[in-house]
Amino acid sequence: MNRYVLAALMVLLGGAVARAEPLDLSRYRGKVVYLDFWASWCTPCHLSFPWMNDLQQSYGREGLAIVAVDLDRDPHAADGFLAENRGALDIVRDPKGDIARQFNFKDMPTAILIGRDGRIRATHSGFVTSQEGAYQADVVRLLAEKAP
Amino acid sequence: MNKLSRIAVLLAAGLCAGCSSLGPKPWEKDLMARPEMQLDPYPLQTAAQEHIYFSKEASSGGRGFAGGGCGCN
Amino acid sequence: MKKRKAGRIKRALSAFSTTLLVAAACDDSALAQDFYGLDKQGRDNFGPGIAYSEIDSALLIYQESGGRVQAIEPSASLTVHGPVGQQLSLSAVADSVSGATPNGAVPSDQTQTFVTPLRAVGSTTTVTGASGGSTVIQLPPTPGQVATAALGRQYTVAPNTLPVDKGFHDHRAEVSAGWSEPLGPISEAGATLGYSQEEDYRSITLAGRLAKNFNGDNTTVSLDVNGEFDSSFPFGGIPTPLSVMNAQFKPQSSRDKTQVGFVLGLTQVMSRNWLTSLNYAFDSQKGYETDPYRVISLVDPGSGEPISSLYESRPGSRQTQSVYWDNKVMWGPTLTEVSLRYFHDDWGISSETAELSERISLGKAWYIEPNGRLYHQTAANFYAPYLVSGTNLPAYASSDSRLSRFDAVTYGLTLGVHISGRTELYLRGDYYTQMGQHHPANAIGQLRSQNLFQGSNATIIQAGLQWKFH
Repeated sequence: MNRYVLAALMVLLGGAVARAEPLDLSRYRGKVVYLDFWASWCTPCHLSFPWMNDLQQSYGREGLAIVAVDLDRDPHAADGFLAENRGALDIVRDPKGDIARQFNFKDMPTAILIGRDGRIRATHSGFVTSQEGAYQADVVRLLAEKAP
Repeated sequence: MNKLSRIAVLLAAGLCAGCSSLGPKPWEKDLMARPEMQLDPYPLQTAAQEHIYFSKEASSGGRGFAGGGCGCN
Repeated sequence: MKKRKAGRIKRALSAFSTTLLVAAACDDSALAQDFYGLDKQGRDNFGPGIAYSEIDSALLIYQESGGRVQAIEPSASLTVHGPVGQQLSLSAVADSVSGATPNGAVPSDQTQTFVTPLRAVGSTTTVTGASGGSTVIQLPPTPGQVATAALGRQYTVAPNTLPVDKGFHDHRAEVSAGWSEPLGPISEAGATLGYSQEEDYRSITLAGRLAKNFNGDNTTVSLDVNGEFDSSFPFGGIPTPLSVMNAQFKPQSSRDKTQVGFVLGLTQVMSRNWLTSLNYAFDSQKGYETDPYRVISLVDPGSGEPISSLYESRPGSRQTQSVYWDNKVMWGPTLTEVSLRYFHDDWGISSETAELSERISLGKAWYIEPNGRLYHQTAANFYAPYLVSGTNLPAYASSDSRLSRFDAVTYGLTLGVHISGRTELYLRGDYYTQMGQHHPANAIGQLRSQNLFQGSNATIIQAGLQWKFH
């Protein structure tokens, strides 16, 4: 995947505005994007939120943008959970999976890490608290790169 | 047994046809995540039932319990 | 319910793999979200990839109709989940069985008397009194041997009633331990060890499992391999097959049986709300298959009166195969489960089983689940309700109704409730009925007016508690 794909994504998703909230990744150009796919029924997803909030607080100023895509079929299913846990995270709703379909993953949650160059650089399949250090190391590594 | 093998192969073939792409996407497995949708959510009930049927009838067992679930992590 | 557990270890191992892929519960509706009781931070910390523990406990009460066998069976299991798919499982079961069990003889229009060994050499007590009907008797000396103070147990059976031994009781305890975890490309590898002991029987089980997920975890292929090593040491020793029933202590005190088998499984998530599973099981047994306490009547060819009781005899090996297909479908607020099983063995027995259950949510925390089961089996080729005197004795013969041709229907209902979101309580009741050949067309003499089917109905109640905790 390269920046052209990212551009294609934006076009595609712009067209899907009737079904999903638009995911406009152009806002994040030059930043590192942590694109996280989750749902309210997925237990490890719950555990990832406090960690993602910590990450946002620690590295937001350095150019980290976390986008949490909610894949619940009923967009309001996660309201209760989000009321307590959202923090400062950007939430995008994708009830029909139109955004998720553009990526190829099999676990819930899955986080796609997009570098400052707009390319997919890493994928985190699932969320295990004992791996938080490794997840963070990937993010720090991408933040250290300069924007093209 | 001839009949038995035929049943097994037919069913397996039916299930496996297009196995490589059969099944929901990861975000469509909300129902599979529910405990009651697992293959054996009440093992002590299953154990008791099988013990009783084993003591009253000539057939036994046959079950296996791997698979299903939401694939989380 | 004198028969032993079968497949218990297979089942314990099965509980492992469910949790590898089990997630906790949140539905896609806000209602279900409350129902599953998220913690204060709105997190549900009981699911795959989360290390939690679970204790299951249950109490089973079993009562056959007509004052026959009754049993009480408490059981408990502890499952501990590790953070990356490991699972430790421990379980224990105890049961206490008592009551009256058919001894295998046919009813007669005359009083019948049976003698059987005492429970222990030199014992002067029997199981009389409260459990009714036996007396200690002095046994006549064996010809050519010095007379000793040999004792036996004798009981009589009234005319036109099924001969049952009321002095039947046994206690059993069983424990098992197992471990499973992902191993490289194998999604799940595990092993279980089990041990079961009762007063006259011991069983050791060893099982292993390998499972692999494909296709975005929608497809699972699994192989379970199991071995069982049993030892039978009946009161009074091992009787000579088809010898006349007597109260002497037999010279051979025990015999063994070995069983090896495997189950191949294919599970497929067919769609968002349909899970299907297909299993093929093969089992091979060698050793002592006979029930050492059971006899078969030798009857007069004209009158049908029992002349003597002969110890039964079963082949020294058995091979079984079965195909089992299970489906779980979620439609709106109900969960339907329908399964079919076809079984066949080399004793000539074939059976078909069909089960249906419907779990219906009642509000946030309660559910009821009616269920039904239909079963049909054919007879073993050496099954006979009795043997006729004057004909050659067959190599194998048993009048055990479990080996006869019959239909069975079970009606059941479960009621359950989620307390505190992490704890579930259930109460299950089933009524089991058996319909066999009560009056075979070729019955002779007085047997034409007797009920020759020795099976029975049973009421089964089980209460249980599941508790998840960190």
